[in-house]
Amino acid sequence: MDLNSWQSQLRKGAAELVVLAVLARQEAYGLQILDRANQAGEIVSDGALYPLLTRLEKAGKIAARWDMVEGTNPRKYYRLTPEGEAMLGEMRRLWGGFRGMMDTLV
Amino acid sequence: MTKDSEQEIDAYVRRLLWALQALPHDDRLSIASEIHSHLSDCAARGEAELDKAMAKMGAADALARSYVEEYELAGAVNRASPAPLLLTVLNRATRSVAAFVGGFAALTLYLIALGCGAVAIGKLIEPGYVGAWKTGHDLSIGIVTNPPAGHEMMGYGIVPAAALVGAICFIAAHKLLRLIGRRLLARTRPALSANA
Repeated sequence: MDLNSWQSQLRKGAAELVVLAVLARQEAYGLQILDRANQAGEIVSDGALYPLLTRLEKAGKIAARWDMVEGTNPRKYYRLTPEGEAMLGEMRRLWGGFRGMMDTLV
Repeated sequence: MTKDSEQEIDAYVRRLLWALQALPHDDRLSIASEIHSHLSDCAARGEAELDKAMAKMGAADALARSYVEEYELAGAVNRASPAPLLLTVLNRATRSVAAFVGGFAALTLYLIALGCGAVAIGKLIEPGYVGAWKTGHDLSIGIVTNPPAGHEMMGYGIVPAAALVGAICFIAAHKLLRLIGRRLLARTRPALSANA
């Protein structure tokens, strides 16, 4: 069995939850989200994060605003919407159940 | 940020913009600006960080493809017409078992619905050539060019029956297609990490 592929699938499943959890703490732009999501180990890559953010934004789970300050990079800040908060709550509940089940089995 | 880094970022974003042509203009610009900003922030941390970020971003056309696929599928799932979604799902049939099985099952159901519609309408136009005949052990149902000599069993009752079966097949195909579309959307989530 290819363990790298298995590990990659595990990360895939967790990325959306991690990104929403990061945004639940405070509004952030892409690089900040990436730094916070990956501080305990790599969960999401640069090239994967932005399409995910676009999809979550289109789905109404997060909202975005551009911050244009002269002399600095324009930055797109994301924040959780009420719909995103509800989804995060449900995902946390499911994650807790899943982790408990795995702890019992493995 | 060095001049070389700036040029490298500009070249990457130009390739990305070019590869994103299928997307709406404003969305392309927004994506390109965000990626430019990300790479510039990384470059400000040093050239090694920029190199690392570029490697993890992947080739510009691959990044663009993941955006385009996301848009195509999300757009098709949200559209009322099933045709774009059916085409998008069938287009992925070689890469996903769910798309292969679900896409062809939905296509079959749509064809059955179409056939039932033709039977219902055909009975009203050419009643002698549409119906259900039993001759010996053989049963013929539908539209026939040479109606069997036996007794036609359903009469005009075939019209509501075909319409009902057709409607059920159409609704089932529609629901199946949207289910597959949503599943595929869920799977287009990030290829996470450098190992992905």
